[in-house]
Amino acid sequence: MTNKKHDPREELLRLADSLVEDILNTDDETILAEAIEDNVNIDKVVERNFQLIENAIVQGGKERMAIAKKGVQRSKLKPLGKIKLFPTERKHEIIRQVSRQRSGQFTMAARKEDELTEGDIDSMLEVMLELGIITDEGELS
Amino acid sequence: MTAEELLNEAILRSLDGTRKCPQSVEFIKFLAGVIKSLAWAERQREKADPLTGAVDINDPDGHGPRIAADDAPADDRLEAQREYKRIQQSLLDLFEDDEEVQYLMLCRFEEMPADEIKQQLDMDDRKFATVQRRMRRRIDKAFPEGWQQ
Repeated sequence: MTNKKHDPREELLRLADSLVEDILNTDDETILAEAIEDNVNIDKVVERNFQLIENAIVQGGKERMAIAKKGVQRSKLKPLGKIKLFPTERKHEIIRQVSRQRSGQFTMAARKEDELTEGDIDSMLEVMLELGIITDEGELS
Repeated sequence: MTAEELLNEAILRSLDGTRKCPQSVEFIKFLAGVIKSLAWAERQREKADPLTGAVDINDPDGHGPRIAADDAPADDRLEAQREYKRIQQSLLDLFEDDEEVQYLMLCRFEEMPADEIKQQLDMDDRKFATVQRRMRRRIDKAFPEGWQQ
């Protein structure tokens, strides 16, 4: 015998490993024949295993959904805070200032500012705030 | 972690891509590998956490003997060792009429490589597989739900 550490738990685990190994090395037909010989209800076993897999798929879906929700939560933009309360004209002015400072990046929005709704303007300001282009006070960074 | 939880976790990790099954590997074998790896990680965690204890390998539902963690009090460790010795003896007693299996089991306890076992027992591959199967089948029948106290 080899001189492995004598720990009964470890020894049992090694035996369990060898039993699993034996199952994995046995072909499907033999496993099926053994099950029939042991009067195993094969349909029931198959159904139970399908159920386990289905449950895991459902659980996986739920977990992915939860992760996605967290991601959405994290990606929510910083609230506008006091900028939201600024008069519309002041908000337009901030956008124009940013547009002048960063020509090319916000020009389209600036050109169409007459067509922008209050919601559009707030969204743009939220993005600018998030990107650090403007401060919480509505000043250019 | 119960056997079903292990299987569930293995399927989850396969589905979310944490574990990827190589094309050349049979899915069942791959899944068994993931389960083994999860069980190993769980055992390491249990060793690190004396309050958690551990579950018995032959008792997937957790009704069997509680195993003391490595740094549990000496009395608990001693009791756990006795319990595992008792399980070992029960398994060996199952094969009182089959010395080949008894010897194979002792070799398996010691993680002796298959080739060495075959050499010592003077067995070819076919004979070795037959004895190994005989051992598995009888243990399965004697403990269909895993080891129970």
